Amino acid sequence: MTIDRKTVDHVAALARLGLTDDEKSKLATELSGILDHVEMLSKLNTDGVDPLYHILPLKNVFRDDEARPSDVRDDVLKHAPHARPPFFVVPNVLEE
Amino acid sequence: MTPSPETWTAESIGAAIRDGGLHASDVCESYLDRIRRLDPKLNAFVTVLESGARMQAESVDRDRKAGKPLHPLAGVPVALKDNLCARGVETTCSSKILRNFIPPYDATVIERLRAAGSVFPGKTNLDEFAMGSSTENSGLFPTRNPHDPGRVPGGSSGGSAASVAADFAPLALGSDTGGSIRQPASFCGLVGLKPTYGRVSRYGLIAFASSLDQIGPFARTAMDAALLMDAITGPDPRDSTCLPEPAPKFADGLREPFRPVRIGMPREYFAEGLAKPVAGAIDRLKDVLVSLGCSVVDVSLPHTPYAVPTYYLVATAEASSNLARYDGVRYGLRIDSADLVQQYFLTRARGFGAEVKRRIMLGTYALSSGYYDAYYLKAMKVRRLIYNDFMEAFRGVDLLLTPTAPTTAFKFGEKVSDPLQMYLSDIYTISANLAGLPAVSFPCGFENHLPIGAQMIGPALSELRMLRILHEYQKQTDWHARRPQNLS
Repeated sequence: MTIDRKTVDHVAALARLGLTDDEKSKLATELSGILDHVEMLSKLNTDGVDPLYHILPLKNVFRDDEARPSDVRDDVLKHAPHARPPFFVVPNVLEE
Repeated sequence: MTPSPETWTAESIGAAIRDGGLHASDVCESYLDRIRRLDPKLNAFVTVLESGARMQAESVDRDRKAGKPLHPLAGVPVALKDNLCARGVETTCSSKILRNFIPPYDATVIERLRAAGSVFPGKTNLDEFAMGSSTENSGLFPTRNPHDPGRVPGGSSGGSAASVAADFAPLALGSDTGGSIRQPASFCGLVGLKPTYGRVSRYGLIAFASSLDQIGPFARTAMDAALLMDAITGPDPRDSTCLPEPAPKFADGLREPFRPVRIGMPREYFAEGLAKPVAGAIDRLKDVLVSLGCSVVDVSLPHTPYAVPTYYLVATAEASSNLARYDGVRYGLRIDSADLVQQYFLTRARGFGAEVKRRIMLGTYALSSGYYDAYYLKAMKVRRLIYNDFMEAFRGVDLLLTPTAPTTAFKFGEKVSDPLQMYLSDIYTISANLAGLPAVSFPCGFENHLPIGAQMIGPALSELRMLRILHEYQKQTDWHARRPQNLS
């Protein structure tokens, strides 16, 4: 499986990951190499095999939906890169 | 007792503090002094918590004076991997993207150790976001192996392993997604246990691959590992994957009479690529187990060759999803831009290191439209086949015995340029994560000055059985007691 530059651009956009041109060329080569190794899985017959999503027989765990104080809001905001309590501040995403 | 970390165990420190032979404050100062003198050569710690540790130790001494009952780990230092959130303490995951991140809460394991009166000397280095096998991927600095500073301590929990090997603490916590406790334990000559998936709450562990991650102990002895397991296991409603059943009493269990078990050696783990000194040490270990009355037979785990590719699809897919949260909005690094989406790109470009980017890319690709069935879904099916191999093997044996890693600790730079070679160094540890099984690495010999590790893998919830055998083995041998030469 060969990963070309166009695919690297597409995947980086999906991941919101900024990459330099150098990083992109290197990743195209490295990912192609890793996918070559992974390719061996396709030779294994898995017809009728159920995917193993969970090791445990656990289902969803529920608790009572009770309101209780968390007392962490100010602490959380204090360490935010940019906050105007009680909000996080981000660049404007809506038209004026 | 004389104040000398090089002769202490967690068990002996705890007992001496309880009976008044040692003050927790003196124990704490002895370790802090060692860290001040020797850590600049090793860089095991990202953050040393001198004043916090002192306050914890003084509080234990006050409790003793007041006649309060003390926990077996009261006053016992425990080093913490820096992907475990501790309230009010910078938690970096050894990533630039989390610099200055100060969690407003404790991980469950840390909350429980605090309640027990343990002392936290510091947060230890790791490969960034626990992605790596050497600490060379740390976004901050690499950690050196106390047995040979020219070599890696293993990873990703390399700082935790180095801290115990160098006697900066008798115990440490790590996390294990594909071998990140066991491989560094092997390279540093320690006991390192990855519990059954669900045995230990992950609340407050910074997520890497959620269907694989598990927290566990580093120690020198089976008893010390059992004491730490006693303190951290048990149900936790804040982690929905944590088992609701209470855990056994591990330390008490080690005091029960020893009963020999049936041990299987999977032939796929002794094939090409295994270094001769490692194979030889496992052979001698086998003889000791036979002398203890255990039977040893060959078994087969036929899908073993598929474990590494399966792991690198499952782990990266889950990582790409888990790491989507680092966007520069709520905590950690932010590279400002007038445009929000641009801010995501810039922050993640600057904050993540090369290996993390590589895995986010691979995982995003494996989950992306058109490739999901061929990669992620396929890997999840093969994962079932790997799991079935173990279930089949455990019909005939109680435990499996394997090497932990193909070699002893490798040199800096030896594998870092080839990601695939680095991934293949996890070949013996990855399957236990894929199958959710408990596994423990422990020292069983040396190649010159470098420790050799063996691994036991057991059925789900068999940690106590494995630790009980290890305890018996450690009565017969002294590999676990060997300290690094020339560290001073």
